Amino acid sequence: MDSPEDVRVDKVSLDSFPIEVFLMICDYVDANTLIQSLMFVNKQFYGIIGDNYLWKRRALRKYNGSDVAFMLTDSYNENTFNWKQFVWHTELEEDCWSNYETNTTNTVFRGPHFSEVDAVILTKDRGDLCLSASRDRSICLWNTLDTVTNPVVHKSDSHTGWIWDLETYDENNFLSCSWDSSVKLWNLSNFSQDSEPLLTFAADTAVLSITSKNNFIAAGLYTPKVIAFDPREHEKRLFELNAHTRSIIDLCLVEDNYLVSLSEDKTLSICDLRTHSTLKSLHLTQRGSKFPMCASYYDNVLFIGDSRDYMHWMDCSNGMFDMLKTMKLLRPHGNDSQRRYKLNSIKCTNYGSIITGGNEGAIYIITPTCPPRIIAKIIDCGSEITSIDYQNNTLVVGYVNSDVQVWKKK
Amino acid sequence: MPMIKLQSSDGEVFQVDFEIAKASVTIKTMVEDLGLEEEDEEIVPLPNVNAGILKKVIQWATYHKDDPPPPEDDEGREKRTDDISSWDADFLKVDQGTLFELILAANYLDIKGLLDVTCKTVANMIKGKTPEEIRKTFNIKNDFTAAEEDQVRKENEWCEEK
Repeated sequence: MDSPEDVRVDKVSLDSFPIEVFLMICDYVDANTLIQSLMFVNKQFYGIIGDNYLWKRRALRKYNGSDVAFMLTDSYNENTFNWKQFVWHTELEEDCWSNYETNTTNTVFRGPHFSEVDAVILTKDRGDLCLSASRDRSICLWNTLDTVTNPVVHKSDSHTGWIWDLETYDENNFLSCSWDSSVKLWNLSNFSQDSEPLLTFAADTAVLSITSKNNFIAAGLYTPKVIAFDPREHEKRLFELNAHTRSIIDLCLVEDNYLVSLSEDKTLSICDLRTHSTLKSLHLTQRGSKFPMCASYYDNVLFIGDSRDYMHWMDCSNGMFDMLKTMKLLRPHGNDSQRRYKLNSIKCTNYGSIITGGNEGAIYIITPTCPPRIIAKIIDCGSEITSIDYQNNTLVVGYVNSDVQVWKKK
Repeated sequence: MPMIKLQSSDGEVFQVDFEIAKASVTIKTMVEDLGLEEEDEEIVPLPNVNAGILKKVIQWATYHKDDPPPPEDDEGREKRTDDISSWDADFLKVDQGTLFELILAANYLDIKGLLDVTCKTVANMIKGKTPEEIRKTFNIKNDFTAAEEDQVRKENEWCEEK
């Protein structure tokens, strides 16, 4: 045995702790500080905090036993899964929204729209600008950093019919679609009251939803058709899809190769964009009594909201498109209520949360687990929610009563 | 009430109520393994803890002697750091060296309550700080080259966009 004097010669410091003690301290430090600060302090800390196992342990401790969407897919591999990013997202979302009343600022944009706002999007510049479009045929551009509630631009008569959807095309351009049977591409940086669209794409009937990627725009129509354009040759259609028997409610791209369409015929159809052919067509449930209303894709999982209380997860890995789980969400007025939760919008933009909005003006921020845990339930103006967008801790919501509301992390 | 004698690394002997000393799983196990009785004059040596720190540990254990036993299983519980009692906060208003010595002692003596609260205190000194502030607080040298630091930043690019 060492003589007492020899036991500790060096003075103790944070970087000389036994690793198990250092890890115990790390357990109490938030993921954001660990990843953005402590990891950069020196090489030793980098080595310890960079280790995927540390994050896996932290994630499993948090979600002990419950199914996490991203861990159920065919392509999930526990050794290569980015646990660090997963924990970072989940902790940030939880921190921000579990106490949103004090952690976020909340602004209502009211005035210019005089009819239902059916679409809202945040632009790609860290979400500081937001666009809203309404049945009043106008599009508004808002600065979410401002407490001033006047729009930066209010462009009336953007279309000659109800505007039903908006979509970011790239850094500088965005798309709008309308019941006037057109899709328009607009420049964002010089968007003004007098702007003319860069391009107008003609559709046969009302356009209910749009989605896009580089050099590709898809539009879902009132007649049961999906049509696609390339902006470089906008007069010509890339292709038409006729996989549905009733109108297309929503479209969602899955990575580069697949386009998912949700229809009033109660089916979901997956198109392979390389062959322009329908890969799969399916009902959400066997009885098929629900409409798929909205979908959002993140890391191999497609989150689908339906018209009657349910959320569905679909495994998109390796072009499989198999249903993973179906789960009932809480009705806004409680499960004893006769009124169902109709999901008009769903968003999953990181590992930490799924955001849903629908009737009764209820926004749910929930964990991507089965069963989902409610991080926050926000009912503010109470009007039905038509559209949601979320990025960089900015949440924007469009309402039937023509309001647009923004929450921003302080 | 049975008493027990604890000897610090620098040879000082402390007579402690066994009920209090039992907060340390290490001491409790030692006593049970050695089969020590009340009247025994046996001294339990603690070669990893000096007199100053042992005194603090005893003070902490004495104040907390009636606490309910800490939950065994931490799984699923939120790791909060804002729940340090005001007595503990006062007790831990010590220099960094002492705080670190207390952590090592709590770890060696296996006193979960003390280990938790001291780790939380250090965590609070880290939370929300920049790398440079952490280096300054804990007197740690940056051994990254500029190129290495860039590399780490690249690996973490996903943090910027979210």
